[in-house]
Amino acid sequence: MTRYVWRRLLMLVPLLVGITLVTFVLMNVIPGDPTISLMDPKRGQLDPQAAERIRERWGLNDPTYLQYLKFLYNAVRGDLGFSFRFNQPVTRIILERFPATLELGAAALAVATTIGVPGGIAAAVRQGGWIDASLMGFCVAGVSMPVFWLGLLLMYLFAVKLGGLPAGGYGSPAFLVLPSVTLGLSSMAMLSRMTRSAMLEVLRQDYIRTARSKGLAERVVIYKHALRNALVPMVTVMGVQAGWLLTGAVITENVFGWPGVGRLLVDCIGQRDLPVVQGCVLFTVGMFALVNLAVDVLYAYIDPRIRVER
Amino acid sequence: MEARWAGRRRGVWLVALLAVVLGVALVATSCTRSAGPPQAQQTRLTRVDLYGDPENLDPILKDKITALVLNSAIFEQLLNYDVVQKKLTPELATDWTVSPDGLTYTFKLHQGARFHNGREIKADDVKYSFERLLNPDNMSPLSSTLASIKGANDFAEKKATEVAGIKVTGPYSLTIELAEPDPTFLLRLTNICCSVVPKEEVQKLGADFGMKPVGSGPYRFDSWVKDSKVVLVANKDHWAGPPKTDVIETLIVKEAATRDAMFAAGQIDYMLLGDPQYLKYKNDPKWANNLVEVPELYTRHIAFNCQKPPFDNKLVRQAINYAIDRKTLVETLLQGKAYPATGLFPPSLMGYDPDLKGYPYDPEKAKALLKEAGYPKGFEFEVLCTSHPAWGSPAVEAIQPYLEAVGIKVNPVQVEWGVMIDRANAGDFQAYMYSVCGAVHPYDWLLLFHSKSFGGAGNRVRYSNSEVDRLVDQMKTTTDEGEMIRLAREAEKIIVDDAPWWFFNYNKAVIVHQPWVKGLIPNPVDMDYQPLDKLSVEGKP
Repeated sequence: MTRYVWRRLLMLVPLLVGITLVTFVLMNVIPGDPTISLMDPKRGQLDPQAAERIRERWGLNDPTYLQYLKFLYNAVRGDLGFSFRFNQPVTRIILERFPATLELGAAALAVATTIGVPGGIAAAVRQGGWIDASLMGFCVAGVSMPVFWLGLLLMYLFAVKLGGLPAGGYGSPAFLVLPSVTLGLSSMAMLSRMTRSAMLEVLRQDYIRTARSKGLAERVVIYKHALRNALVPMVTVMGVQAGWLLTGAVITENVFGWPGVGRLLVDCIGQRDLPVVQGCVLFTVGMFALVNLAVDVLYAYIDPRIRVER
Repeated sequence: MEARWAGRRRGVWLVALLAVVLGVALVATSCTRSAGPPQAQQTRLTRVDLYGDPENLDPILKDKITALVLNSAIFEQLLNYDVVQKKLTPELATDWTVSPDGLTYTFKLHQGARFHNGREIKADDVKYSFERLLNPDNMSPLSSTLASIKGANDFAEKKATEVAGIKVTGPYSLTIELAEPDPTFLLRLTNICCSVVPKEEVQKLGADFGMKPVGSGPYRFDSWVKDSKVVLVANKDHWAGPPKTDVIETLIVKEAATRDAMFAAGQIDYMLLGDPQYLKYKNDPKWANNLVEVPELYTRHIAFNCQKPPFDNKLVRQAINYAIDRKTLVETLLQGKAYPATGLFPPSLMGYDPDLKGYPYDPEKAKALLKEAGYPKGFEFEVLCTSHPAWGSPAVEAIQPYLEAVGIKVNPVQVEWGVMIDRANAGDFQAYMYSVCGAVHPYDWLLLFHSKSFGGAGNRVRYSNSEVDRLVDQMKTTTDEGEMIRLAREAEKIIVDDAPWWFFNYNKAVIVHQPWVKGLIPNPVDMDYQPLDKLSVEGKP
């Protein structure tokens, strides 16, 4: 198992190099000058001499390939460089925002799991009944509704009309409620649909009939025999969703003014802050890969038939 | 039995993993949060930033409103510019004089003014701060602000170890000598980049000075959750007495609908309105009386390349000015959130001429002018523009039918802002649409039309009129304000008649506030640029 994990981690290296190269090329292809981040366009134009001096210091006058090699060389040594926008080390900028991202992602995942899994089970057990119909209808709505729209609806209802919850911002746990529900809902819908279909498939298996015919209580049949065997597809979905929730919450972060990594990335692309963009991309890809690795390792625990080692 | 135990253990393992992930998340985040609820007796004002995180609060590193608003409360300069009274007011300098030749400025400093670390501010600190701005090692994009000081260029090129023109003449007095007269020099000193900073803190904090700024202003920096919130607390020891509100909290929320919800829920005390939000508040009796409006110092326009046909002909440029109904466009396209332009200067600029009426909407006159200019059948031209709703492609599309009515076909070419400016500087355009210039002195506005500032220096339209040049040159050496305004108005009249631009509108900036917020001012430089130390909260529920 350890060898497997190490091998997977090692495979991350070419992936990360490749992805930073793609990012680098894309950021260099799109027009725009990073010095725009120093001044509002509204306030006029940067003094050309000062702008030139700053570009020189930022290394933007080097040949493009050299800029990338320098980045790689420093990145290998753990130095992701200095942000143009913030004049601060990139690592620090990302780490400052990571807690908020983790908090929102984890809370959304908790919302998705605690509602989605029991919901999916209930729907499967009562297939065709009113619980199933209404739950699956709700799920279709949850998957189809754009996040920003749902966010604004919740905000209007719970912050403006009913009051009690803050509309946006970051701080006490109360601030977490609306964004995590907004972000978690579509994952919840996905997860509960997946749970339902996995459970339905398992419930038709012979061993379930055997378990029932042995006279086991229905509760034991569902939770012990059926659910355990339905876990593999569910964990797969949870893994993919966790990857998304921990890295791709840009829209939710923007709607609720949540200070996470996704928003940082988008802002920095807009302002051509290449070092931070590279850092965020590395971070995002790394997170995604690690979550996927964790899921693969989990398979072995969930289903003893799966062997991760060759 | 064995198998059952193993299965249960795996289930426990899963639950434990989830719990650990959640636990780590919550602990990690709770550590980063600042202290608990505010004390009951404190007054707290919450504003919101539309554009994003201030990024860095070192006054010499940024010229972005997000940072400037906060820095104006944390730092102080020698002088301040009162945008409502349109005059200079003392800040760290109590007194200043200008020599008759306009070259030597003498400043007396406020005695007893202190940095937030308790140390008194002396004239040496001013010299240090100005040299810090000019020092090329500090990479300030704003160093040209003080470039007119004698010896500044030598210092910037490292030919001298100090700036020859800045002389400390006593603990509380200094003189500044300029290389050549600059009528805007005192105004330049009011820029945030000319703030006086404590040397010891700058050296101690290094690059972190921009993250934990230490100044001398009415507010101290307290805390900053990046991309979320900046908190300032009152400097009770400020020389002018403590400010009116104890805590100023700035929230960073870029989504307009979210700001609306937060404002409606009372989470925000005041906020700047975006264009699409304006009418909603204007038409709501609950908020209509809680709006503060101002024409900002920006003139939206289409700039014509005066050296290329057809716009090398003044009659053609005038014809376009007559051909479009700017008043209707302001009401429809911009939903009333602008003022139709009557000339170059917005009403809030020093020197604005209320008697100048500008171009009326007169398509017949436009046709006649085109005929006279030799374009009886009209022509076709391209306008470089951004996607900006008020001065970008939507506006160009809106004028298409007006110009078509007089036989002119206009094609918008949408590009990024930086690309547009590069091409405008290089003269590679027929016309472009833009919004300038934010300056509070008419001299800066008129420099955009001086024949010596072709290209990147500001005169991108390559407009040249010897009479305008003469008037602007004369302004440079004028110290009398009345005379200055007379010259400015005369130059403006000529420029408006020559019509190097299609004068479109002046931006109307609008703030909406809760009834309990007092002291907001109509600031034409940037509405968001409020004097935080003068704002108060009275009877907030």
